[in-house]
Amino acid sequence: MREIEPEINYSRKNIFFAVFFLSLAIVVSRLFYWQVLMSSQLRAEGESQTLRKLENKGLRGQIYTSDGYLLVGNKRVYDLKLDKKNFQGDSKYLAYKLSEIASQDWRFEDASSSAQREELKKTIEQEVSQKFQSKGNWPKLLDNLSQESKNKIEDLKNDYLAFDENYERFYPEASMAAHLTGFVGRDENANEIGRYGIEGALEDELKAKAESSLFKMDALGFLLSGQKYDSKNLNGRDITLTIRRDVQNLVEQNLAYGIEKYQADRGEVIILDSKTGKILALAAWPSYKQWQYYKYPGDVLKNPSLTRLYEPGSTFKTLTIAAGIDSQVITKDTPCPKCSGPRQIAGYSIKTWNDVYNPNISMIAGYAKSDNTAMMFISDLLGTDHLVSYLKKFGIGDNINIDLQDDTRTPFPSKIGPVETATISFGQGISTNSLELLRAVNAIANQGKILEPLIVEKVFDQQSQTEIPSQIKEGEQVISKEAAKTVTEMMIEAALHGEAQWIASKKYTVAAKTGTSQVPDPHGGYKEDETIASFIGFAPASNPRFTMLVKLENTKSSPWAAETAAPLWYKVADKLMILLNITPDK
Amino acid sequence: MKKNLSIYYGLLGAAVLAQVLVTVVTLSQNIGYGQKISFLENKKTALQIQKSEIAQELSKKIAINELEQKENNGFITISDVTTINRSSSNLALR
Repeated sequence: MREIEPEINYSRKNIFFAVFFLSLAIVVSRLFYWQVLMSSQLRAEGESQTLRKLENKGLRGQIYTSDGYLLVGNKRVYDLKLDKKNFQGDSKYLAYKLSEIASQDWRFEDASSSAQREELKKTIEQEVSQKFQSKGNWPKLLDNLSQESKNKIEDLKNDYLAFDENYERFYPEASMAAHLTGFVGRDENANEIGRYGIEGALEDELKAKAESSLFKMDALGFLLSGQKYDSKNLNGRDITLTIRRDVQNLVEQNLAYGIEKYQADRGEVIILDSKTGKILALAAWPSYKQWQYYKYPGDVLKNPSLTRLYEPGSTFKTLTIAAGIDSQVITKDTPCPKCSGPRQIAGYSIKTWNDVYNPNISMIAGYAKSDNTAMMFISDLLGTDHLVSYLKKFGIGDNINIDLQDDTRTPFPSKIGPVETATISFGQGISTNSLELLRAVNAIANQGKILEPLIVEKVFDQQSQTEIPSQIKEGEQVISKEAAKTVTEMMIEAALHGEAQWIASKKYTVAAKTGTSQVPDPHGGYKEDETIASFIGFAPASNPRFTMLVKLENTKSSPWAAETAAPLWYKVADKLMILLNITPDK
Repeated sequence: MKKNLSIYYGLLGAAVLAQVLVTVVTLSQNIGYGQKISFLENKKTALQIQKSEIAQELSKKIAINELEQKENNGFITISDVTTINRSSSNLALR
């Protein structure tokens, strides 16, 4: 019997293969989709889970005095945040406790009386309470808290409070040299930025650097191996100023004393090292606290030694004398044939300050007596062009080129006729600022050579660990050494026998000149009841070590420099001789 | 045949063991590297903070205003210098 072959069901076989290949095609197409089409997105998602951005930021550079004391540093402060979403408890009680702690913080040191402190506490309590109602999940309750306040808050043992670390500027010497250091404020994007003084001028040097890099990390946030990790110092550069802490303190204390004693509205004291032009001290009053800069009007924040223009008055006669001596149109003994009465120039009658006239007075005596007619005689002999050329060589109208943000140029009169030439010779009708005048007079102390005032002693670069010292900036020889010597002799005579002779030192020789200038009235002419008293000079005259300017505005005790600025100058100089270890030369 | 099989399984076991060892060592290095860097970074930050706090404390303590306040009232600053020169009649020069 023939066996019947089983009939193959081809359709079932085909269906099986069709399903199999279809499934395979689906798998392959899905693989193609995920591995080819979606590869970049998947890679990105994968990397987003392993790659983390590490951000590093350094600290802002610090500022030191030349004797190595910290003037401006960085202080760690804390912002207090609340986990509002999960917060449970008595918000009123917490706000009360926080206000109690925060009102004792360093930022509110001004609130000295108990009444002020109570008021402050209430204000803080209200502010904190309002923040409990704010929209965010982590509202900032308090900011810039000190370590002590942080410790006290931690003692409250509240699990819903957390801290963020931050850094603030720190001033161990309080507001010392505020006009030199400037302060750190905020720009329009609320980023830190230096304003005024060194902070403003050297912002790029001081500011902290920031760096961010992507690293592969594990689930716990640790770096995976095989990647180069470089821990860099990102701190800004440290700046060392030329000022000495003890000298600066001496000057600030004495300026405050002078302002009070002579009832002045404003004042400045600047001391330069005569041989190098380095600023040993610069103090101005009114001053401000750098950490509370927002409480002061704008003009208090500016450095008046650079920004406050004034007519220098008789101290300017030193430059007229120097020009006359150097150009050899006069000697110190030349008699003045035009000094017997007021001078009539272009319809104006120009008098001496006390309306006293000395016919044929010698130049040395004319300078000591601060005789305007003697100065006009010199300007006659020099001529306008020659006088202007000397003044420009002395740097009048030029920038100081100093590393302070307030550095500015003073306007030099555009049109100088016969009246202007006459008045400029005795320091009226021309504006300058204190540092500009001091730079000019210091040229005489430095044997006729001008020196640009220096405020930065050195810069320390944190990255390369190198020190970059500043270079002394010597200018041109304005007058000859011999002329400088003669002018010095005339200045010694002025200090010994001039208006301030009664206060002259018996221990060391001083070459100096008083100046009592008038204040221009915006409505024309000069103000009747306002003067600027100044005293400028150097000591010891035989070998100058320092050049100092004392300027007091609108003194009520006496309008005359000989009775206000000069005594203050000598008071500072006496102590400066000790601090600078100068041997008296008398 | 049995001998061949045992050699085969022996080699396979060795390969698996080697792979396990390599994996463990690599992973531990990976974890160790990250942890070491984190540890050193934290230590560096802590030391920097400590240094800045000490410097801050020192600056506060030697601040000239602070020192002046601590001065007792009996301290008198030298404001008037006595100059001694050759012509001086001071006893010390005789």
